[in-house]
Amino acid sequence: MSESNKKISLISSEGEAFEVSEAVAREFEIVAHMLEDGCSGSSIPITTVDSNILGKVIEYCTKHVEVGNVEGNSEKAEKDLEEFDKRFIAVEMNTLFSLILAANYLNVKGLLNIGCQKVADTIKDMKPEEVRSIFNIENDYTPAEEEVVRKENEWAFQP
Amino acid sequence: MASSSSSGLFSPEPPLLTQAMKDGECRSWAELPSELTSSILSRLSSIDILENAQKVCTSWHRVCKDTAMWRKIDMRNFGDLVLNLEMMCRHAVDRTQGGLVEIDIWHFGTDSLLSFIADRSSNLRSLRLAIGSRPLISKGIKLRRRMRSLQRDEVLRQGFRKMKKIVGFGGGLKGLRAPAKRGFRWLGTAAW
Repeated sequence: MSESNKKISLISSEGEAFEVSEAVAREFEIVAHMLEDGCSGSSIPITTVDSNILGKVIEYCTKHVEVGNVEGNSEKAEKDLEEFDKRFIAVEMNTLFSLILAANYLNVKGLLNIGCQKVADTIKDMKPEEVRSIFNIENDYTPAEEEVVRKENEWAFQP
Repeated sequence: MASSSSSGLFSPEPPLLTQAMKDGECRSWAELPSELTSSILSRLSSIDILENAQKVCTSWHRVCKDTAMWRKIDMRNFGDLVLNLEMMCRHAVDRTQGGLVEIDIWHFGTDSLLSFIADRSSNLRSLRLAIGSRPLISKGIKLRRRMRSLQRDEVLRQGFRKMKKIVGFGGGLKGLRAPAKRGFRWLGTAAW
């Protein structure tokens, strides 16, 4: 019981402290490993993630820990969580980009998964030009390289 | 003590991952680490990868060439594409470099395609052939013959020796009977 009441401060790149329960901190696998490796400190620097994104990752983990702790009524809880995930990940592109990088670095698998899925769902059925414009990607193919890819795609010309 | 042990884990310190951009400035997704790009693009259908994603930029093209992306070939479509899907599928099979584990083929396929796959995919475990109902009924009948040849043909069975699962989908496959008890485990024709 005392274990679950323990508080840990996660410190963002700006030095802002976010106090969370140990259970929430452990959702960051990178933190869980540190705790298992005997790091007994109550404040852990997350120097590569800023306050804005760290706050969001904590919000995600807190919700998932809360729902995980509720017993019974699991079908409804699961649906609520799905709804939460859907709303949570409906963010603008720069934030999504940062969330994916942070989730990967902090090793929050669930968040990484919904982030990558969100991007894939957006890309789906889009032409290359649309993808480039939405994801701010420059077409860096040389004409010669473009020709090679075009030749690879001979199926498009022989229906 | 705590801070020294934690800074040890975080060093050398990686650069800030979540730098806020100035107003109107956007991050280029081409800069995403390739393993993350791979995780994103591998969620697309094979048709989407070959037709669109790999053409976006050279870094995405590299990711799309990696065999890690091609353990599963997913040729799902609505039967309305003006593309030579069989040719596209052969190209995808070439990209697997023998590592193909799972393949979904929708609305196309020939005996020679199955042989092509069998020759190159000794690790294949799951094959799904899906065919629509009414509008594609004639194709459905052809595919039914194909499935029968798959069940009978000794060479194909050898090529697919690790196969655990074949599933046929759709009204076009109605009436297809379970194969003889050699070779494959037949999971039957599921509803569309």
